[in-house]
Amino acid sequence: MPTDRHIFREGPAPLRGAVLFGFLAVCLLGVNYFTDWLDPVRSKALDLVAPLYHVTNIPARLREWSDNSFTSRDDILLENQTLRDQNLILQARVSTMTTVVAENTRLRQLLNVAELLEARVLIAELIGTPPDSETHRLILDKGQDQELYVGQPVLDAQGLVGQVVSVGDEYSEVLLISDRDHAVPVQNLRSGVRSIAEGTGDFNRIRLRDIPVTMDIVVGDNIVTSGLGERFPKGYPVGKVTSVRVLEGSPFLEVEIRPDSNLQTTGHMLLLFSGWESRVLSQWPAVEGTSSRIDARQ
Amino acid sequence: MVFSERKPVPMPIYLILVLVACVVYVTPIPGAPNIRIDAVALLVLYINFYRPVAWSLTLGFCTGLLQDLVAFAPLGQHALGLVLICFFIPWIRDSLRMLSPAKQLPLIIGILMFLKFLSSWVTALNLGILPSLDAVWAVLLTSIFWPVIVTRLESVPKIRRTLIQP
Repeated sequence: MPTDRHIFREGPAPLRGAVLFGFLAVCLLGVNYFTDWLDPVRSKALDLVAPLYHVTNIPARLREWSDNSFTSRDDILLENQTLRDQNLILQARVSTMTTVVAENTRLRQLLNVAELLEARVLIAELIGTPPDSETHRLILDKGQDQELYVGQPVLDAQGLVGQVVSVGDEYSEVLLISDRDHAVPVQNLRSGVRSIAEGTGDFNRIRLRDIPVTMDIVVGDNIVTSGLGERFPKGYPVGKVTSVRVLEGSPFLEVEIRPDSNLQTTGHMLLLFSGWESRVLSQWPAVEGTSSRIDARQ
Repeated sequence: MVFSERKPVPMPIYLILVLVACVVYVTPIPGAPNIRIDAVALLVLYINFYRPVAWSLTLGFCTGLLQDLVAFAPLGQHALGLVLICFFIPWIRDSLRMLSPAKQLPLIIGILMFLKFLSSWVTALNLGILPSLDAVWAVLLTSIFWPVIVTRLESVPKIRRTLIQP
């Protein structure tokens, strides 16, 4: 028996092993992209790994706690006054909105359009963001235990944030509207022009797709969800138009918008349980394309 | 002939190191939440350069899968990159060991950039796409920690073996 055998090696790794493991990795990627077989693994991994993100938040939470604990009385009084002023303004807006909503409901009845139902919302806290800078995702502290489902719209105080793409028992993963893989049907609030808003991989830029050059759209227009596709309810703010360019030889405009929501800084999100959607699904459970969503919700 | 060799890192120690590296990897940097230190890649690089084991490919693959799970990335994304690294490093290991950790930095930056390119290509399923600016900053920041990691982990006791040539 040779005396110099040891478990570490200095020579190159075997090509056969590299090919085998490389092939395995590519197979896993293929399965991940083209099937949903690995979704249960991801959901379970979400519950296992998310607590790690809690650990990484400890320094930030300590800083927040110390800021809260050692805030001076003057600062608290100032913040209190600011909140009172803000509350007053919001109450005034709500009182105006009540009249508008009543008028809207009456007009809808006149037009024989389905009534709007109030949506149920759930507040979730952001516990972390995955480290890959190429994807824009968030981890929230609510999951299937709180009846979250894949495809659920996520909002913050300013507008649309994204949608739930993976749900564990206690945690969920959200894909932001700025991610390259995300698209949402939108509408220009002023002119009514419809389009698809696609993420660009930049938190401050979203691109509107396939808008003909003859369409009425200008810088500063507000873009809201159009409600088409039944994934996002109608009328939630998405962003404001920041640039409109005409490309030579192209029949379409190049339009970019800046998201209204604070995609990088927001700490709390609203998860929307839209009433109209559940009603539609319960009435037509056999409609093609909705079954997967029903399964996800169950 | 006398030469020094290092003990391979014991598996429990390696697992603890991987766990710590994962925590470092997911911890956001204050003021730059999109820039992360890829401590997992650094650890695998260190093992391959300084404490090579016979099953380095398996080690790279399993560590990559763990990193995929921790980063909520598609399974196989980091695993593929680390397997390729583990395969190619032995070819340059000896020449790189001659240099000080600071002089190794350009190569380390190159390897980390390759990993970022691979991640971008795999994420977008597009070979024409380039890593974001944040990714470039992440590579530069990560590479700064290479000399620190080498110095710290090299302080683990070494063994000396004596081979008697006939």
